[in-house]
Amino acid sequence: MSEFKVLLIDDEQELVSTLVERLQYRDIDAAYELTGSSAIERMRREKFDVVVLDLKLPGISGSETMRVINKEHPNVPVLIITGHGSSAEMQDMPKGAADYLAKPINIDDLIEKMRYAMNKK
Amino acid sequence: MIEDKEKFRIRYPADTEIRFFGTITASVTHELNNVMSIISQTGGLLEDLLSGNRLGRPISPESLERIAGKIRAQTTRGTDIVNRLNRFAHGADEPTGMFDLGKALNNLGQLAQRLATLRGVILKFTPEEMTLELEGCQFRILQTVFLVLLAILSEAQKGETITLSLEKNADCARVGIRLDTGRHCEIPDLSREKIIAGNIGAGIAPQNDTNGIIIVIRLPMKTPPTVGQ
Repeated sequence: MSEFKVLLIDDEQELVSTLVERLQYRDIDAAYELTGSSAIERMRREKFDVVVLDLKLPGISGSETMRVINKEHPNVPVLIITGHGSSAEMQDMPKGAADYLAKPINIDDLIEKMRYAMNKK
Repeated sequence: MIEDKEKFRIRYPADTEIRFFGTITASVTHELNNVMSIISQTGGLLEDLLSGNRLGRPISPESLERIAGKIRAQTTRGTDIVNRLNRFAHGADEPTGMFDLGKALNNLGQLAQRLATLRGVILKFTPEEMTLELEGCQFRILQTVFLVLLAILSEAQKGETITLSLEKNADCARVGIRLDTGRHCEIPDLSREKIIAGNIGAGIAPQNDTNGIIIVIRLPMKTPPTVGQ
């Protein structure tokens, strides 16, 4: 029985699929979507406890995706993945994120931040 | 949408060559960071499997083969990105000289691919490979093409296609940047781009119709080194 269920949203398939595999190896129920629109649709069909979202997405932007998720699922925390965590990137950060993670992601940090964000909500 | 267009073009302003370089470098390093992240996670996955193996969970040869393939593919991707950026950077070595515009444009298009992808736009080249030698300042010529590409990209919507083309006329090279929309599009304001083009003796001619926009950049086969210096 998984402790929680997470949806990762990033257009780099190799990256999210590997992260999902590593989370599943730790008995965490994880899934991924490559676009904001497919993630929004999936969340309308399936329940997730936490979302990890890259802001740089093709089509519907990460910011817009987060706005929709926050509106439709106000109790689901959204963690943002940034490219470098630079000051320019941080200025562009949308409001409403539970926390931020810079690439490359440390899996233990990710799990800790997800747990913390869910407990805070 | 107008706000979005303005934000897009302000983010990639035309005022200096340094900003052109910066825009390309920022986009490429983002992509490179993704490559490094994938390699990092794949290495992490291998560590996970090894630590599980120490606790008695078997590792299949297929898993190891798959992980090795992932690392090899990302290493190749990363090397390609670095080589493209290196070719682009060396374009600024000489103020003027002979160079292959076909190869340089193809390289620029590859570097700009991510910017297009992030807007959900498909970027194509035609012909895919072409050799066209001309004499001029490679960096400034590419800057002009890139800025026009950004201007047209700011008009593009998700799912639309931009085609970058190159052809040789009797006395000039013609770079075409076409946005196919199937709808009427306004021609973007190209006043800044025209000033920069004028500095290298180039001309910009935009046209629109019910199917989209085409902007042709006419480049002299030999740009006098004094122009715009």
